[in-house]
Amino acid sequence: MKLAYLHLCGFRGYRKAVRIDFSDSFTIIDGRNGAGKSTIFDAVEFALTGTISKYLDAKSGRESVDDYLWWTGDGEVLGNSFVEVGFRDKEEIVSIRRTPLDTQSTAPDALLDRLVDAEFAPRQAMAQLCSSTIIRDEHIARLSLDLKEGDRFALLRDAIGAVDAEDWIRRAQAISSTAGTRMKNAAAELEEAKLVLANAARQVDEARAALPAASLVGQALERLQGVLRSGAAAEQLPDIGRRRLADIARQLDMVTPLAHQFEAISAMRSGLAERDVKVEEAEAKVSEARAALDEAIAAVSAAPAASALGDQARQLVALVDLGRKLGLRDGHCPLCESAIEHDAFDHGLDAALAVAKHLDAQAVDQAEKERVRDEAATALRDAELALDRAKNEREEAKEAIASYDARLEEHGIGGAALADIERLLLKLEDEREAVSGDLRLVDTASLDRSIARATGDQEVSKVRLARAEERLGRARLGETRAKAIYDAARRAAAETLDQRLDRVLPLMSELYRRLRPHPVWEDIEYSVRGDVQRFLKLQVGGDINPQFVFSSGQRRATGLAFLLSVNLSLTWSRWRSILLDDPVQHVDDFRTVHLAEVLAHLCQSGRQIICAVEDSALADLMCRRLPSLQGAPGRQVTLGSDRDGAIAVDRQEEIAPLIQRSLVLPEQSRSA
Amino acid sequence: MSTMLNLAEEQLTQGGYSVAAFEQGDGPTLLFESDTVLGFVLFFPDAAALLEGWSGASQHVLQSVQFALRRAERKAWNAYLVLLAEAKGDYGQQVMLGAIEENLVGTRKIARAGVAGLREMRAALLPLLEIQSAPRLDVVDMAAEIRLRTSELPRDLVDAFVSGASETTVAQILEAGQ
Repeated sequence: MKLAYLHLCGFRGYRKAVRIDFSDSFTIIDGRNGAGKSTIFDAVEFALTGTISKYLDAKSGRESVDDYLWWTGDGEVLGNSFVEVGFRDKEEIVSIRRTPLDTQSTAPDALLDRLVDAEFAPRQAMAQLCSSTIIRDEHIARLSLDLKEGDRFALLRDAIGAVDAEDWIRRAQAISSTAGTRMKNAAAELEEAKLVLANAARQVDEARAALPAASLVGQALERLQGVLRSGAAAEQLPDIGRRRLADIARQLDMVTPLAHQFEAISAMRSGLAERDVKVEEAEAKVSEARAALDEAIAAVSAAPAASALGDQARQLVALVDLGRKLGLRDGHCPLCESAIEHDAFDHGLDAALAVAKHLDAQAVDQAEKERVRDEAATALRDAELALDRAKNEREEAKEAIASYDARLEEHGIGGAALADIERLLLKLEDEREAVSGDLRLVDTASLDRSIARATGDQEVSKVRLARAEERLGRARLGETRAKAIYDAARRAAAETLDQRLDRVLPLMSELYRRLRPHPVWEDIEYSVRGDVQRFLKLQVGGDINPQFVFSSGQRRATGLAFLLSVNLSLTWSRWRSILLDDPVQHVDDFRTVHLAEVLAHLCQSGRQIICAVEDSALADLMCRRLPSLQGAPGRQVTLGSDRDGAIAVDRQEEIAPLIQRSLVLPEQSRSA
Repeated sequence: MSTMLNLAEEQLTQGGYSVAAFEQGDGPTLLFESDTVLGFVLFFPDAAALLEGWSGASQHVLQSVQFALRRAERKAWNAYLVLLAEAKGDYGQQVMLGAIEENLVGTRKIARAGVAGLREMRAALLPLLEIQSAPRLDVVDMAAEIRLRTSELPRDLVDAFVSGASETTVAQILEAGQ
């Protein structure tokens, strides 16, 4: 595939449509600054990738190169804006056209498939193809000598390395990483299993340490059988013992209060006779009170009630007072109307008053007797209450004593003294302690269960540990193998790249020797260093880094050697063109001639050379030096501007082939 | 010098040039020509002789072939004057040879001393010869390269890895067997 033509309108500085046809061999484009030379290369890249890579990093305000892809100058674009690039594939022309409406679309696959060997091309094949094929003035040093060694290596690796090497390495790395994780997990699992086993073993040890000696167990059994008066087997004794302990606890709960109450009951018992005396005395007081009451009642009953006597006296006084007020009426008593004299009447009133006084005295006396009677009744009631109380206290004491005695009888210690009760308590405590102690010795069943459980746990832990060991072994094996695969993938990538580098580096050295950037250091050494991160190092004169000693022209010449080498080494490219945009800035005439020689040889070998230069004399030199042959004549294109000031092709002509032989005629040739 | 002459003739011939010998009083000279360039090879015993005699010798040769150059028309602009000395020169002479090369008046000049063997001859004539290193890199079969470097691993494991089996599958095979 070679470039056939470029047709553009309204793109960058091209206001009018311009078409440039390229020669299959070489096309030299010349023109002054701003004539549109670089736009030719930009247009080719834009057609293929939809952007111009040399401006990718450039930003100003919110603007980028995207804002200036299409005509932004004064006046309207004369025609529709477009960029069209045609490729010649043998006799066929394949073109790609972009307009302002489809700037972002990628190149059609059909074109990509013709330009690159898709099977072996890198992912960003079109962009990389452009960066390796279009060698721009401003990139010559930046993409070669001024590149960091790691980036320089990456550039070369992407050009000639195995395309899928990184994929294989990533796949192997992912698998290795997974295997590593599995190994770590297995190791952690093993550590945990070890801990669990250690714990289980410790529990077994602790359970075994808790086991008493067999002789002690036998003695405890005998003691228990004796204490419990039981001939039961050893395995039944613990239950019997626990029942006995419960019985002892119950007895202690009942007997302990008896001991505590003993003194009080004893005092109560000794006070019973005194309580009998108190009852008898109370009975005597009741009898006395009753007699006094009878006597008082008898005294009262001899006369009317004091209240009745008092009433009679008050009525009689009132009658006398009435009689005195009324006086005799016609000699008649106003009270009884009987005829009476005044003296008799007065005398009768006085007598009646005397009777009234007598009645009142009787009433006072009777009232006194009634008070004595009431007091006697009260005294009798009090005496009877005291008697009841004394009797009750005596009965309560008797009942308490009887109850206490009954409880003593219940525990088989009827009539026991306090010392007897305390001895009983001591005996029960001793028995409880003995039974408890022996039970602990005899009750080995629980210990056996603990040991069995701990032993079982230990066995499970052993199995788990064995499985963890097995898993770890497999994981370790897997990790080793995964690492081996990862290592193999890396080595395969590195070693195949080294092998290819070994074949490409001589080309680089040769191009350096041909371009001869430096008069003394005629050779350059390219060396790859680093294992994980790899670097491509350039040295001249032994160990001198040309990046820091070469002039700008020499750096450019060295860079050209590098970039041309990269282009020539692209194994997956089918694009047989090399585009150079003003490659000789800062390069002197002598080295420009060298470049022309190199380009001539490349052209001779079938490469299409498209080179833009500013100087028309240099363009003439190129056109003379590069081979313009019959059937594939070179072409020179001069850019300028038309009468409207728009970029236009001033001249576009084929270069006539040179005379084939003039110095060594065929008959003179020694090889003829 | 006959060795130099033979080596130069051989390299130029192999490079596709028509080559002819030209006898003149100053010594042997080779004429060579391709479709785009033509030139002369002058031989000297050492750098000193070259520095002293190159100008006169070259003028003599150019005068001798002036008609041919005139016939060559534009091609005459692509004339090469190759000055070769068999013995190596010192640093000063090397610098002066460089100055001759950088003189582009009339012809493109290649001036070298110490051209005693094939390697030096190729180096001297390099600008005239086609690109010597033309690596044609074959496609790398990474799967095969990885197989080559994993011969100690189980075959089924490597097969699974290079065949694109899932990572889970590969992980299972990784831990299988011993």
